Amino acid sequence: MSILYTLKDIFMESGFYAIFADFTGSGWKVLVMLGIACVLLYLAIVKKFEPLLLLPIAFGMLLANLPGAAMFHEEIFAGGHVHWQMFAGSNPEIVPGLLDYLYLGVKLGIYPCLIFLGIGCMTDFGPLIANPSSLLLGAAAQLGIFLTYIGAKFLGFTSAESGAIGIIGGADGPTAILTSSILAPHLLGAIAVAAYSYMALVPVIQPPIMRLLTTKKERSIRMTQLRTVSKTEKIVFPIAVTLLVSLLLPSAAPLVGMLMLGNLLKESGVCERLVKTASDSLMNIVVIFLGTTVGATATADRFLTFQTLGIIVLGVVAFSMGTAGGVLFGKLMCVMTKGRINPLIGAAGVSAVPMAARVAQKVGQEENADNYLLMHAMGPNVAGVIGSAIAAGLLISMLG
Amino acid sequence: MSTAEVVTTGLLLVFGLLILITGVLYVLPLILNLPARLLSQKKAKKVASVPTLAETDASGIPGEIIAAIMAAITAEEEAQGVPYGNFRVVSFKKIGRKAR
Repeated sequence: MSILYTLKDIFMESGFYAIFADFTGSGWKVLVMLGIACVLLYLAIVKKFEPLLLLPIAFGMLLANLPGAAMFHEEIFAGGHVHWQMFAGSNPEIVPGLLDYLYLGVKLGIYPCLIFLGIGCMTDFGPLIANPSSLLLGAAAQLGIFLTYIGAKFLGFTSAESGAIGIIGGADGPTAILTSSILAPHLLGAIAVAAYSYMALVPVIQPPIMRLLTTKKERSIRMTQLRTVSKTEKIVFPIAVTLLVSLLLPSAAPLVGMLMLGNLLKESGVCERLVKTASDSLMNIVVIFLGTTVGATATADRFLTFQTLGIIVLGVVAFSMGTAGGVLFGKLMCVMTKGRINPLIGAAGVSAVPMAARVAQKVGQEENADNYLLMHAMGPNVAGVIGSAIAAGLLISMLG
Repeated sequence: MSTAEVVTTGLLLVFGLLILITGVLYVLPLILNLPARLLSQKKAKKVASVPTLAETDASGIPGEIIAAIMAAITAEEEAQGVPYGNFRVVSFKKIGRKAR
């Protein structure tokens, strides 16, 4: 009989019991979240939607929504702060788990900066240096961020929440995660899922907008070959950008500084071991920790709200507006340069590197198969990374 | 801050900073190439200070001889590392021999 009682006790502590004992209360929400996690896993594995991040995010969501597993405790990070005393055991009912410790890297802004270090090591700013006007296209694409901010305010979000949602328009995952972890940590899970899902949908979202806003003649414009950029220029560039941006806007220093540090390590040519580590092992470790812990914040209470629906709708608005802003500015530059710039490269100003540049090339080749826009589009594409980091620093500074 | 203030300030600062970086990128090659340009200007001045041939009557000298002499001067300048082609033949004068 004691065996039966023991089995009964074990069953009553199980997740199945927790779900069905209170099915109409929180049980159905758990099942929905587990279902959503499985859908995201399908998108990541089968449809290959940004799998490097979406898979850990989806699995983190799955782990955090398992009743009784207690791998992540929202109470430790309630109110947007870290309650350090809970790590020391101040509340005997809350024993910090693995994901609580790993989440500190998100909360303290460490992981996004380390990812930017790796991105800097993998980025070639040559096309941007060869054609500095690409920076203006990168700036124009950030229009999506601020227009989405307006839309979010209209839907009733607070200023800080609107800023965190607007940054989805920057099409930059680490930037979105850093900004929302500071401005609206309770929306982090939804924002991260929206940001990475839409980044994977760039080849679907952008082309119709690009065709709508340009003429066939504009899309056929062939651009002259870019000049050769010297090694000295490539070395001076990250130092100059870091000094300029960080002195004028200190809140953008963490992201821009780490991006430029990674790039300087690469371009200097004297730190190959560091470049290899930063762009490979370190980045992979951070991506695993970041993705899993960000997904873990998407608990049923936070995710299954009308706010999440609003974020999903605003996310597609953000991407669309960013694309439109870049293309329209590209048209303006086309007129000012008397047809020397193809407006399609403006769409690459959203910083989904190199996906957006490839989309510009593909749409351009639909009109003229001999038109190679990829390297020209890489300029605005990497400029968008700098632009979205600056926009994030501004939003954090103004709204944080 | 109001919505309009956030949007206006944000866009102005993003564009402003990126325009500043654009300006730096346009100026950068000029600054980095300045020593090389100054050096080539100095060499061009040296070549310009070499006196050209005095103008005299050069009729009767075959064109092939003039072309051969020009080629020899160019080869000599190239060997010395001076930017060549910076001279113009105005005229030739025969000296030291009686005409045949």
